[in-house]
Amino acid sequence: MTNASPAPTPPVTPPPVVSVRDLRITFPTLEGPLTAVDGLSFELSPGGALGIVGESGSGKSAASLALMGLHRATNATVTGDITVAGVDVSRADDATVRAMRGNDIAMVFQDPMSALHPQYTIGNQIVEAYRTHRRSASAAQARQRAIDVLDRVGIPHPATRINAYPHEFSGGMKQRVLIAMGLVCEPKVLLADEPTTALDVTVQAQILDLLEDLRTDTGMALILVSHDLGVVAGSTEDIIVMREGCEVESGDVRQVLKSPEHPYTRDLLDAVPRLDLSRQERLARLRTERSRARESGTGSAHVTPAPHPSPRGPVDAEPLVRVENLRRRFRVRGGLFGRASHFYAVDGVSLQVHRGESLGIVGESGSGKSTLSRMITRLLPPTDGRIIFDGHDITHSSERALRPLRRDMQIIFQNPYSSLNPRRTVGDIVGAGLRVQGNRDSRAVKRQVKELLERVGLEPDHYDRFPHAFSGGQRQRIAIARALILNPKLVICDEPVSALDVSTQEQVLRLLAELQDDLDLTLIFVAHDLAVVRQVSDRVVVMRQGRVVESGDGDAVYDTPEHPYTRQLLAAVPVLDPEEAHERRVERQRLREAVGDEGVAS
Amino acid sequence: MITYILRRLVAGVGLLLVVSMVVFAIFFLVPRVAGADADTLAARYVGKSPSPEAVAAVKERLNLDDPIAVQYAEFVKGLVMGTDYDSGTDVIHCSAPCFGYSFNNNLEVWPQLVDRLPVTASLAAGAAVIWLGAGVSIGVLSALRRGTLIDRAAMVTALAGVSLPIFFTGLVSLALLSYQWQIFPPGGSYTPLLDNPLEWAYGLILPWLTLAFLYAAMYARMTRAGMLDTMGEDYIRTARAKGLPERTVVTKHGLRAALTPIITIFGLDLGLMLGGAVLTESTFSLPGLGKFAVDAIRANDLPVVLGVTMFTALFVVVANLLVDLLYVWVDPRVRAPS
Repeated sequence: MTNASPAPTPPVTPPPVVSVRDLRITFPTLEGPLTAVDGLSFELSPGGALGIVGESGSGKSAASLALMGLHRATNATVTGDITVAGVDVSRADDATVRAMRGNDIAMVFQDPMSALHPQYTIGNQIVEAYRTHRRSASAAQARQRAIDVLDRVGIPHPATRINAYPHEFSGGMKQRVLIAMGLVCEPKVLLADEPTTALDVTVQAQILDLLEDLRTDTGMALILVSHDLGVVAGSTEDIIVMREGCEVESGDVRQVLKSPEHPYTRDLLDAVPRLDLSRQERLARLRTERSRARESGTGSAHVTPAPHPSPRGPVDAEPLVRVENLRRRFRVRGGLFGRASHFYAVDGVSLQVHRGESLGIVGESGSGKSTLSRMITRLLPPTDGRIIFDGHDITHSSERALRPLRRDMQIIFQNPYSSLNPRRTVGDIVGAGLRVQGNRDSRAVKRQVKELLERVGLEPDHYDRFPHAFSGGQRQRIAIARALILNPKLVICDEPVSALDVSTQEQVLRLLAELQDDLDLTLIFVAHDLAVVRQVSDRVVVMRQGRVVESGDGDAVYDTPEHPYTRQLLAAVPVLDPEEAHERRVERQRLREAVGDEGVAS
Repeated sequence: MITYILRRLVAGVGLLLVVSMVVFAIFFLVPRVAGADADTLAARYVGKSPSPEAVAAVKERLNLDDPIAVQYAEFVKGLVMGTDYDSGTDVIHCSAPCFGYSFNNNLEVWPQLVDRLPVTASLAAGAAVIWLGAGVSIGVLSALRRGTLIDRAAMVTALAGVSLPIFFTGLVSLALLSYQWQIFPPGGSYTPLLDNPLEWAYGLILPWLTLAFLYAAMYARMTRAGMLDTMGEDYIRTARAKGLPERTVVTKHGLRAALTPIITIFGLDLGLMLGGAVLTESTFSLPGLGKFAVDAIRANDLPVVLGVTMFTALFVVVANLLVDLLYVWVDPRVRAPS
């Protein structure tokens, strides 16, 4: 796949800047050696852009670490040939590889929150990278160079911000700092491993735009590793799809996305949440698939009652949740004797959720959407306003008064790795709700839990296992079962899929849609990704800085967004068509100027 | 940042006040609550087998018949500006800072504390240098060579160090190194630093090593655990990906972060030790604060015990304060946003 792009190639093909042949990486485990990468080969020409796509565990990160020679001195076994900018990474001595790292190939990591050292200023960390490879540079020169690259990646006031510590930056800004650190020695290749996975959709778009810009400006090559085809589609020329350590498909990105040959690639493509699919279409599609599955006697549809017809019941009935002018103030510590200032995380939000409906709440981090959902369940007391749940005013109810209502409101949290107690079995976790509510018949509890486990796509005999035995998607299924065991009237999903791979995300969303269909659940679905929200929401509320900027019927918000901020959010959703991705990039540029600086400075 | 420092200072003063209340309560309020009357209480401040007259005089001098609040006010006043112990017939003056007056041997406590402090401080400082140096370097080495023979040997030694009490290691080393082989001087040999620095170090080397062995063992285990955590952090991978030499990665990036919690504990340990390394001082017969306290307890000289307790508390609070201030420099994240 050296020069698969249809662009006219120069008469003399330049030698590839990265070449990998028959790469194999194994890790010793208790159950014997585990092959993370199995016979991967590719080449990248100077200035090219290659995407590596696969789910977690596909070996894509192990492969990128190998390019940097970062498996050295670990217990991983790496075989095959890796050449980066003329350095034979597999055989060169440590000093040569060190001289290559950061200088010929620089790496940007997934989680900008933890990839910077918290105790040094960003300037210190960038200057350090520069002076490691430019021994003759003076401290002043290195500092100037650091200011230049910070400026280049869009850090405002770089000359003063260079003295700031990582915690003084937002996630998106930290990722820019890391990119600046990568750029400082003008590497020939920038290797970005899931650079946007920890970030909001809008910030993701900004970072991807920045990477694209840098590549065109500096002529460096880019390797973009991601689980999300949508991320890779708009920013690369060639693509490799990996699964379980092997390449399943590769080639020109347009070609692969338009006519994928391997079924796995098709699955990945289907999993990318699509903005252009309305909720009704999606529901219809889901129902057809399920009835087809039922007829053929396969699939997970064995407990299903006949799907009742949409549209849902009349909306004039008393809503299940009514929130009026809700506000929540937080204190920001100020001077010596508490000259504290206040800010409103949620600032006057009113909304209603009707029975059987699902409401999507969308916004970036800091928009107040999580604070809002915590107040609705009274996990957080509101400062002002009213919350009426199922006819009860719970705004100031005591914890004791709330207890009987608690079983009717359940939450599914964002991170299934930390929201399940690792020392309790799945049965304990899921059954706890029943037991807390006073069900003493342990056999009945067990039976009920097992039924529910099956309903959410797990096995009944997972009952006695511990959470660590499950993947992220399975854990989120456990969390869903835990929330549903008490037949709650309201389920709040707080970013339930943002910690998951795109393909797993799709399965969990599908499960939620099925469950809602079957059990007539009322859902509040909180997320930063508009495309994800569209798949599960009848109505959508867009939040920004504690206020609702737009709300309405799902389709209307998506098809005719009124607020420029909504449009900005929409434009940030990655798309699969490279041509369209380019158009959207231009559109984003325009919107960013329209909405003002806050959007960019996030 | 200035806000942060001022806040810490204010908190430190407040904490001192609370500590003085607690110490005072332990000595004067708790016995009352437990049923002791003014006379029994006074008897405890006179030493062993007191005469009734002496008890009555002490009761009068300490105002033990006054309400507890008045007594506390006197106590604090003594700390700050000195006090007079008036028995009705004669007056004993105790100048500020008055940490009490020993009616046993008719001496103010404070000057005695000050006399003994250099011994304890010498012991603590020397041992601290050794245990910090040895503990941290062994811990780092262990973490980097995790699972190797070096790591295991170090950790087994550390386990021994943590579990063997000082009066065991101290006595064994005294018996072998100073009495049997006569490499080091016998216990009780202390020369002030300013008189002869070499003699000072030579006399203290065995207590230093004994004390440092215990603490080095704990610090080695803490450093090892901290380094293992830190070296798995993403920012260490970032540092390697920059092409930094491994030495820089370990020291600048790894150790800096791993040492942060150790500094906290170090400050507290040092503060606590300045109040008297009781076991070490007793084992090696060093005339420091710890031995002073032990001797006072034996002689039932409660004012001295009270004085040493306050003094120790003072050191812990001050050490705590210093650690907090040091933290500003060590960890930028504590600098409160203004």
